[in-house]
Amino acid sequence: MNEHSTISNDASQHSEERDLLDRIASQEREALTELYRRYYGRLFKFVYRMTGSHSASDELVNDIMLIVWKGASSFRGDSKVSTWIFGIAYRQSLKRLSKKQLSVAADSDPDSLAAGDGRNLEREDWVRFGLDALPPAQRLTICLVFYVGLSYDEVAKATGCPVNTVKTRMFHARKKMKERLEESANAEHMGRGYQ
Amino acid sequence: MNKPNLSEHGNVDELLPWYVNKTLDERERARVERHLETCTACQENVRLWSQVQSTVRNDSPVPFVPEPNVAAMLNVVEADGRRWSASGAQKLLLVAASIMLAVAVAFTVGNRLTPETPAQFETVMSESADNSVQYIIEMRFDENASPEQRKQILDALGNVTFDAPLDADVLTLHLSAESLPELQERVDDMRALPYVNDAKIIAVHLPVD
Repeated sequence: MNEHSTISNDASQHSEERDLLDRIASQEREALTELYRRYYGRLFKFVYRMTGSHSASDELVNDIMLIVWKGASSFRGDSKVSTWIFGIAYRQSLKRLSKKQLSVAADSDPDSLAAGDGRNLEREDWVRFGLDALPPAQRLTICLVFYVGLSYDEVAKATGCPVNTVKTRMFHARKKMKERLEESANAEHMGRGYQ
Repeated sequence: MNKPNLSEHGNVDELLPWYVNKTLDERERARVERHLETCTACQENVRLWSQVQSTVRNDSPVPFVPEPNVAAMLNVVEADGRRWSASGAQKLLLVAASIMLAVAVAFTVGNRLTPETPAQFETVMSESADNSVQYIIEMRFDENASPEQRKQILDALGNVTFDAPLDADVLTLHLSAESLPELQERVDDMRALPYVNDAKIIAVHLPVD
């Protein structure tokens, strides 16, 4: 697929989704169902990374769709529909995490990871371990950038933060991940020393 | 050998996540690539961000994605709708019956609040069963939210009557005390909406004469 057709597909998708939102604003349940089907998989995976639970993720996606249903008329069209929806997902996830203190990071003990279960940890495991140790706002911002694929302007719109705050948040996330990885590498080194 | 340009390094370094996710424009991408030719620290950071991207895009943390349950989602929407329509007529009567009292209270409490209320706050007021307490909803809108935008968002509160322009610093509105528990939930929902930076219900204790 060439770049031109990708751009044209993006434009057509945005226009279709904009139309769906207009219909949702007119309280059309069929349009809400259509949007839900389109976004369910992506939203589920996005929030699952924060909740680590199927039932909590499913419930959270329903909460997000309820906000979409009630707030569709406030969509101004100055961002992509997906940016708007993932902005809602970002805020709802933060809200849920602050209420219930759900976090997959609870299992992230550097000693246990370093000790491992006898297998060689791949670099991806280490990176996931570093990600899980991040505060929710930083982890969600990383998901918006790399999972949803938003530009820095879009992340700023989705999160309601200035662009500089978004860039600073990514800088601190990287710093924290590096520190965490070094900590774990040291713990592993110490563990091997005792064997 | 050229001296490293620290300012350029800092500017490029903060663009690296978006260089990796390929959303930079042509000019920014060329700028990053020029810098990467000579900066080993940024090359290492590109490797780290690429690994993060690959990890985040890898679906292995999600064991399986269930089929979307349309009926359950619509139930959530219907249940919310029922909750709000059930007491709609009653709320309308209460609003009409108490509008005059609201104006009087608005003068008293509104004047007290105005100097401490930052711009972009809309204030919504409710009379409690106990007349010595008034409940205020404070909403902080994004500065880019237009009056139409604010109205659409405030409309989600239910049947409301405004007694001031929407771009006023303080907007007073009377609501029934009975709706407060439901309102709390709705105000919580509002915090998740774009263009709403904050929304909260606070109680204002009035001096007893």
